[in-house]
Amino acid sequence: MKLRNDGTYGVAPGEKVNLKIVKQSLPFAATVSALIGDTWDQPTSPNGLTETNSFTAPPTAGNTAQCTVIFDFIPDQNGQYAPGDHYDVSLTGSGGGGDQFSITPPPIQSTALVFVVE
Amino acid sequence: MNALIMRSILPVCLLASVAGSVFGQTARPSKKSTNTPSTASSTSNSAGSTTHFLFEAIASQIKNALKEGETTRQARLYQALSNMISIAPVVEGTKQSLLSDAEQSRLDKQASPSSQQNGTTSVVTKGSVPWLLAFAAEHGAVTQSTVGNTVSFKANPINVIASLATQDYLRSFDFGDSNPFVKIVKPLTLGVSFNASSQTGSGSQSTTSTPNSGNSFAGFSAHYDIVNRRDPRNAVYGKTWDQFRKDAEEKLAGNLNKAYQAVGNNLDSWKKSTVEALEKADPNADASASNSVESILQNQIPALTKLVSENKAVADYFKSYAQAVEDYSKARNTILTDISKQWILSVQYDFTNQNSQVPANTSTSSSIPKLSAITLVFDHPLPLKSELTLNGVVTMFNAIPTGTNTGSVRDYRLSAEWDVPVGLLPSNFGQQSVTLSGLFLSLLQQPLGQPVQVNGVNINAKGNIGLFQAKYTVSVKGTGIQIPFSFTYSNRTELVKESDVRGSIGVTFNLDSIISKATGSN
Repeated sequence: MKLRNDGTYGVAPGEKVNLKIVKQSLPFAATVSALIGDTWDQPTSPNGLTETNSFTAPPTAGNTAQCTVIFDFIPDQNGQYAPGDHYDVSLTGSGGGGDQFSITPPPIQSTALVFVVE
Repeated sequence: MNALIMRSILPVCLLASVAGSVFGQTARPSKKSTNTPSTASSTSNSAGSTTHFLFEAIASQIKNALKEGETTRQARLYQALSNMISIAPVVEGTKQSLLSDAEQSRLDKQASPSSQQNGTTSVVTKGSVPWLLAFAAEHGAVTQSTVGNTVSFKANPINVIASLATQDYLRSFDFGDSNPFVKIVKPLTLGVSFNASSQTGSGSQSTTSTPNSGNSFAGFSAHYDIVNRRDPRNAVYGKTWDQFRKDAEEKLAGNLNKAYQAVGNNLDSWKKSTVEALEKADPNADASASNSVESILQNQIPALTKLVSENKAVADYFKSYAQAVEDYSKARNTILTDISKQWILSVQYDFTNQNSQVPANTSTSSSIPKLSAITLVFDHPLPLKSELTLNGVVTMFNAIPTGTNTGSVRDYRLSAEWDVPVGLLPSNFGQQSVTLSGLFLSLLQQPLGQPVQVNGVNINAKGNIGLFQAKYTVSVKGTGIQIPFSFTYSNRTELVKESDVRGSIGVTFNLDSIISKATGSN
């Protein structure tokens, strides 16, 4: 898997893609949408501060799979977000390669992940 | 100086900086890409300011992308521009605020001296203290007979140690959370006060004591939260947030994903032309400059809005997404508002050096005893976004002067305070509030534990004191500074049995926001 210049991710046909989201402090408040163009291997729920998802890329070149992730941060009683809190997002492919980035407050934020079979 | 009320401590930072912290980017130092994609919804009550904020967030993200290495810069730019689509409904006028009222206006915080210390500016000693440090300089008096000037400091010792140990305000937040001892001690906040007066009274001086000398130690306090479930991140709300995530957030993510797909390749030409323009931008240029990221993005927004609205099928997807944004915001605000209505119970100990409260022309036969006071604090929200605080206090002599037959309990107090947020000044002045307070103090003993003379007149000061105070407080937005103005009437003071009317003013500083800005951003 590789990050392409157009901001999408190039994957090999049938490549298994893993998405991992890790937050620094509770509560975990990120949600991954259903895939359009593919399906997650199995619906997952966050386990504490970590959520993992995976899917197998379509077999045909040119096909795409797309999801959107919403990231929220719950404030404390004074409206402040936990200092240092953030989400670490990592994408890895079974064929090697990947990408990672962080999401920091303020909420709420979103990111679209588009996978293109090459 | 005694104040009537101590409000329960909420051990985090100042209210005045809420707007700044929410609307500002808190970048985390990281070797990885810090991607702050577009904000999916409003964080303001007006479409105009919302659009402005979202625009700024996107601009910040793109500036980060422009600083990336050659291999990822263009990809990050395209990702940022793709994420801009999530603000399209906001551009179209979505106004729902993501911030609850509870997040935007807090009344239960205080940086000033505790209620048992001398020199607070008002009858009310607010219970909330800063997460790390606070400083106050105040002039006034409540039940005491001497108006004083007091400088006070408050600190949460665990958080101070954490900040020093981690050398990073941001990272110190989670310090020691796995240590049971640290978790127990964390709700403890300590305060110390000094009398900054240099009183030059006339008449006879105390024969054995040193009343009201300048720059003297006035007292210290220790405040501990017994029950405080106003933090929405408290573990007891874990299931609530999990359900919220499964309901509103999944719906939001699904709708946004469909909207992205609906736009599809229609966005490609817009992204291409925008990236080409942004490649020539100067990420360090002033926002008003023609080559700034902000200016270039601003020029591209009309085309983006047109893309979303010109195709009915696409527009319908975004209509559904906009509704999901509103539903999400309402659900989130409802949870936060409900949590903000939780009551708080805390306890405070105060040590008071009475020397700093005695008029210079007071004569005593022996040394003036120090005081210890235990205060039980109860906070409860009321309608109109207001807050009620109740205090029960017992004050004791630390030592009974020799030759006197007084008991150890000096007085009992009951007090109440009602804080109401108001908007008498434009909102750019920061939060404002009106506070009404009342106090009943039953003075069982002579206040100094012995007979005293003031101006040569013998004082028998036992009895009851009733007091009323009205206060107006204005915050300086985004600075952590609060300026309270108060008017106080009492039927008498502790030493003088005559009605008393006072006005006072003060300045308090919550240093958390300053420190976090100085050390927490990269």
